[in-house]
Amino acid sequence: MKGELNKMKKMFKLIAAVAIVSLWIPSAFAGDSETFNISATINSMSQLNVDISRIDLPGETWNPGQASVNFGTLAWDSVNNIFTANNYYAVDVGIIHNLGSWTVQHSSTSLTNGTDDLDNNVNVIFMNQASSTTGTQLDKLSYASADGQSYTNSDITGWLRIYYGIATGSGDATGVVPIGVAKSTGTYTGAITLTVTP
Amino acid sequence: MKKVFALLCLCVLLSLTGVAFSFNISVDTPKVKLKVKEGESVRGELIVRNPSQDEIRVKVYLEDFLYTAPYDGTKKFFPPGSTEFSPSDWISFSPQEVILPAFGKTKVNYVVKVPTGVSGGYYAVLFFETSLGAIRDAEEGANILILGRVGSLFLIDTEDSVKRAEIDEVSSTDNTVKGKFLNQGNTLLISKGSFYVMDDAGRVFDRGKINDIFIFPGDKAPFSLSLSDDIAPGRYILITTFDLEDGDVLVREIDFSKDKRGKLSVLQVRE
Repeated sequence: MKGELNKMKKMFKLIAAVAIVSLWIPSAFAGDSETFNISATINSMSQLNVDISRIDLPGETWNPGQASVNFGTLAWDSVNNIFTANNYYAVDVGIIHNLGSWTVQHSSTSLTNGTDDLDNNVNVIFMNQASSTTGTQLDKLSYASADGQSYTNSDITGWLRIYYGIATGSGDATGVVPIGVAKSTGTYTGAITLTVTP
Repeated sequence: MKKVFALLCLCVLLSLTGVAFSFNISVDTPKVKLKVKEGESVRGELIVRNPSQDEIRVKVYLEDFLYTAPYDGTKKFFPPGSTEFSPSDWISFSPQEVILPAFGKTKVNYVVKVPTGVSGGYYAVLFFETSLGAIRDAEEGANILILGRVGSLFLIDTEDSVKRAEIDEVSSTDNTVKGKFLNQGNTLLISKGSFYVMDDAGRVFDRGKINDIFIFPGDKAPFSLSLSDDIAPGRYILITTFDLEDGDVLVREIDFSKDKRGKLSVLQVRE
């Protein structure tokens, strides 16, 4: 009985000691506390990300990571008497910008073989893309009319997707006509510049 | 937030397909704003980054630019030295071409040397351009090369640059008040506008935003603001505030009335 009482006393002393120490420790550290300044800097930046995908027809198979918009050798459609492509292209344009408003501009040189051009034979569709499969059409133009087209950050709430497709004679943009036999043979080349500025 | 989410979705989608963006390019200072006395020089540097896993070739070059209609930030670019606001002859930079390795970066140094006898604002853009490579001659059919460029705007003000603006041709159609914003100073104006509508007793009935305006000296840009359908017939004061940055503002009060058929009439514009 006496042994148990001693144990109880020891236990009480231990608890009391722990309580005193626990009360003293925070105040002891508080006495040595210092104020640290924390700072961080976020630099301004403007970034342009571009990915080119070829969509093969039929089947609409997507092939991202292309080096250019290359329609390849066009095929003769003997039913409609026009040249057609077995693919079309999607160019995804992502803009990361932390200095207020920005503008993205689409400018182009003529798509020409040196003699003729295909500027009114290619559809250009600008989309405000919310996800890889959903987007809102901003404009549907001919390659010629798309030169100088621009959008601001208030137009593009997701990312900009631009489709390029050879005219088919159905559902083409205003002013776009299919390629007939009147066009001279050869390789047609052009360039598109996507410009981002604040 | 939505934009960031959408861009993240795009990045995730491409990473899942195992494909990076075809090319990426980043510049750390999209706007270089300088206030320089005539005859003085200013030095600085910009950092251009390649945030992708593939090497890119970056071409650096200078062009002039003008803000054009509808003056919402839309620009037209010109060869250096071809606009009346061109400072291109004063700006030198190095290097003019650089190859950036994967995730690499480099400094582009510039010097702006303002000559004597100039006044007002001067504007140019330093472009950082990259592409995926050239189209080979042997490729047949129709080929379009895609180039991307990010611009750093050089906005150079001399000591006597003066901001001065006015609104004009104020009219109304339906629930919209519109007019022209004039840049009467000698420097670029970037306006972020807002408005509120109150009655003679000072009670506020509506408030909102006016379209952003980017306008060079001597130009005239349209502005418009839409009022709430809920404003009851009566006489009101429309307080328009055009924030011209750096503490400068243009405030104009437009007295207007609304009749029982809902038609707005602009009565007068006051300072």
